[in-house]
Amino acid sequence: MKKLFVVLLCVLALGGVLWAQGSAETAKYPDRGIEFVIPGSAGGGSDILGRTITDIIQRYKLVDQTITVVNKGGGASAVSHGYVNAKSDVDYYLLTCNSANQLSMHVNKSMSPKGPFTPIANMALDDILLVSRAGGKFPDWASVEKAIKANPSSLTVGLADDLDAMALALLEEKTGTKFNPSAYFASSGEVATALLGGHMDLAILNPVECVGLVEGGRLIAIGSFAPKAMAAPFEKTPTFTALGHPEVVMQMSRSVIGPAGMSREAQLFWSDVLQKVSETEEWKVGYIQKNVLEGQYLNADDFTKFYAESEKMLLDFAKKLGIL
Amino acid sequence: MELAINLIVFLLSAYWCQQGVMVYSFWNKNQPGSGFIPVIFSAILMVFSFFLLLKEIRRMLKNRSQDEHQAAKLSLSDLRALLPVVYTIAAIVLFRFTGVVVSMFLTAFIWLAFISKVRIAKSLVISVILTLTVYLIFVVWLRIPFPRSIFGL
Amino acid sequence: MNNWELLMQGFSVAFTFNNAMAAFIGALLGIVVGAMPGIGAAAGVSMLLPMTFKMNPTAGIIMLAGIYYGNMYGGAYSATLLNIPGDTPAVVTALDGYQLTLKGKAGKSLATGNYASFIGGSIGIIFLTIFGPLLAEIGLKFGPAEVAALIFLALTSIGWLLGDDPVKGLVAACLGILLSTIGIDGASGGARYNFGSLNLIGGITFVPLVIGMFGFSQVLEMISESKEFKVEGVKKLSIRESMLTWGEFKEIFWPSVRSGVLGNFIGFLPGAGATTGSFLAYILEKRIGKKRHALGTGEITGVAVSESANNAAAVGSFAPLLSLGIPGSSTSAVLLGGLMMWGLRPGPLLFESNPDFVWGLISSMYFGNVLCLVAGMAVLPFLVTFLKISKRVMVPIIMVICLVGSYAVGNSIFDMGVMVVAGVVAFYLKKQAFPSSPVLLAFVLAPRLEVSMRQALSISQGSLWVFFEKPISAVILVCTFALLLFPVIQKLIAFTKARKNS
Repeated sequence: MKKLFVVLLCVLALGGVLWAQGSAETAKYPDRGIEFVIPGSAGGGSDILGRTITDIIQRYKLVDQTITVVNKGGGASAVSHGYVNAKSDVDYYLLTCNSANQLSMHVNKSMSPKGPFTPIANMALDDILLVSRAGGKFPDWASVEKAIKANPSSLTVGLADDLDAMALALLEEKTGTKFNPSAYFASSGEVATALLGGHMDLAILNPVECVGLVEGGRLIAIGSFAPKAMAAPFEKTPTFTALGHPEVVMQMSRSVIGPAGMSREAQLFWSDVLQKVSETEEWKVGYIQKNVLEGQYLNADDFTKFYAESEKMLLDFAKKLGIL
Repeated sequence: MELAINLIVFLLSAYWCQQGVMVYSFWNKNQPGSGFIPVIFSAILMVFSFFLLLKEIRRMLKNRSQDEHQAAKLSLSDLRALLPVVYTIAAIVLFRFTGVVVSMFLTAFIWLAFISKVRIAKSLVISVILTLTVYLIFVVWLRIPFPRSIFGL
Repeated sequence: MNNWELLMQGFSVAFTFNNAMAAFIGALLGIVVGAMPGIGAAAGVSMLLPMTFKMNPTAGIIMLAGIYYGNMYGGAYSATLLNIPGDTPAVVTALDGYQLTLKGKAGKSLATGNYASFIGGSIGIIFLTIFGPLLAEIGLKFGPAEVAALIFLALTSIGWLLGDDPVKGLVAACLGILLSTIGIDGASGGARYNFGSLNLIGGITFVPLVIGMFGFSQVLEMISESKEFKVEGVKKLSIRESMLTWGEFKEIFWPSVRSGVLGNFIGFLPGAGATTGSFLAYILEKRIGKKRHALGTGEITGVAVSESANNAAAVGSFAPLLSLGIPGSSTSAVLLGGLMMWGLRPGPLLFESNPDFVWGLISSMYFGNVLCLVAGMAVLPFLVTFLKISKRVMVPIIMVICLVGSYAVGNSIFDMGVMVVAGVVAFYLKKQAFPSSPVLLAFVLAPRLEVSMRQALSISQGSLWVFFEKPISAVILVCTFALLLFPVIQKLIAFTKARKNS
């Protein structure tokens, strides 16, 4: 009898849980957790973007469900794209994107057979820097130029993605130099580590990826691809325009996209959420200002247009430089 | 059995090696290609599995009669092992359509009550506790997005 | 101020009630998450990260750090009791831990795991306190060529270290390497060996593979052998039985210290990780340890070296995180995200600009490590009762855990399928005396070897000489070849002696 009672109690408990969960459930999207996929290992620019957005969403409770950040670094974003393409519940995945990933989709053919990714919102514009080790042989661009012209291919440059490769190709073309590009590293964190350890000479990095190390006096940014002079702590870094190469200008967009075939409802939902994120103090000061970025929010429709335009521009550029 | 395993491994490594050389390129433009590591290790694997294959064939030729006796014995236990495999595959299908709570409860309960032959009441208690633990830790606390069905579970 | 004063000041930060509570809750949660197969430290920390936003940064990071090393303790429990490693580094722990369980010494194994984790953790923390930033600097000396050489050393040892038949061990290791090449190639971005499947483009996920090869294959074994899952002497197992005798403690002490130092060192290398750490420690013990011949058959030393090394490595990865802002592992990367959220910027300036925070964290580690040990010993009796469950009941429980765990890691039903297939394959391989742990270790190590090796070669523009011209990698490679040739030479000597005698 006692045992039967225990069994009954358990069934009741289970039933209660089932019922409570069932009634609490609403049909409103999102009805379960979201995965935020980062095409890069932890600590890189994309990772910081993804984690900052997630943290702000959770802090302000902009979304009821949990968002789990998943790092899928490697293969210049192809690993993460492959991961997302294999999913069927496309409304529950977000990806960070930037111009580099946009380019890589074509270089590595990592787009889903189902079609292109779904643009959601643009978040910021980022600059690109040529960086060397502090206390090393190359304190400025003039010394690099001298060494590389005297001995082509003698300097190794670390790259983390296809856009870095494109930036380097642009620099090589316009300045008449030839470097030894190093293979892709899984992340800019690894590039920075290898540069610090003296395993290569130079690297192409975004400000967000080296700001701590530049402030700390371990790395020097010797030239920026920015259209105009940059804010602190990069105020001493000359642009390539100022160094006499006005055509060496490049910026990259940082954005959020969804898998191919994401529903319109989900796309607009996240576009709205991200707008709220971009208006918070944490975002403006803690992310944009601190990481020396330029805030530029575009909603789903504007970004879709911008995405298509910038994609075409990137591809044309890449073809011209012989990357694609 | 041993023969079959070595043969499969040998063929697999041969395939890996062939693909590595023909499709993924072993070395290109002064750099190791995608096929570099696969080719090296599949070649090593080919050598060793071939060695094991030969050894096994030699052994089989030597004592044929003993083997036959053993083979009959082995196959019974080999087949028994397929029971949980089929059962788990069924559980995965159930999981896909009925969600985690229902499917894991049934997976535990049916096995306990009908295969392990534990008393029904005891089976029920154990499977309820197990399901509840899984639910509390994975669904409530860690919020893993499991497939859902009735009651949103 | 010197480090000592800063540390003492840190203790005063760590010992406030709030921070102590944070460390305690963190340690406890970490143990639970660690023991859950399918959820590793990185996933656990990122899932619990939002919880800490309401706290101040110091309490928040103290709690997260507690989760991190609590996780390293917890991973050993499921490895010992169920032969399902709760996280990746515990694969090595399972080698001896589960054998001990079969011998009826599960309690000893768990207690050893706790003590060794404590020793390893303490070594890591002491090194971090004294050398801190210096450790990170040494780590920087390890570029792609050096890391490739180090992993090559570990990889070449897998086959002949584990299992009775070295040829079969080698075959298993090579199989693991081939499996790891499925999916996108980390160095160039092209897909390979995916047989046209979208699910395989991202590669085979490690956790379902482990759960299948260790956990599920065991279910098959239990069913096919139809004999009772037998654990001797279960009834008298109590916490007193589990305590190590003084002799046993002495036995594990030095090996734990040795592997703690080694593991800590591996921990602050970029891109090596706790798994490499615990495995290299195991190799070292197998070479120079007193019990080297019995290792793998259920020796508490085996559990001790693995646990000590992975805890030390976990702490080690904090050095590059705090002093350079570069995460040494995926878990410390999540912590980096947390730091940035609190407005701290890890980098060379963090030690100067936020000494309260850094030293508060370091001293909380001392405290958290003690808490983990206490909590770990306190849960022992509960864990041990787990063993009293009979096989009939155990089988469905393991099945459910295997299924849920393999789904949870990637939220994918395909992974559940991978788990089942891996279980079946491992079962038939094991039947023919092919060991399954080399498959898993090779699977983890091979992609790292490939990426580092190809990076090194691209820096050197294709010249293999790069591995020998750098002193560190040259030394490691020489050691590797010496280790490889050693057994051969030993056999040759024995052979000639035998010939002389006859």
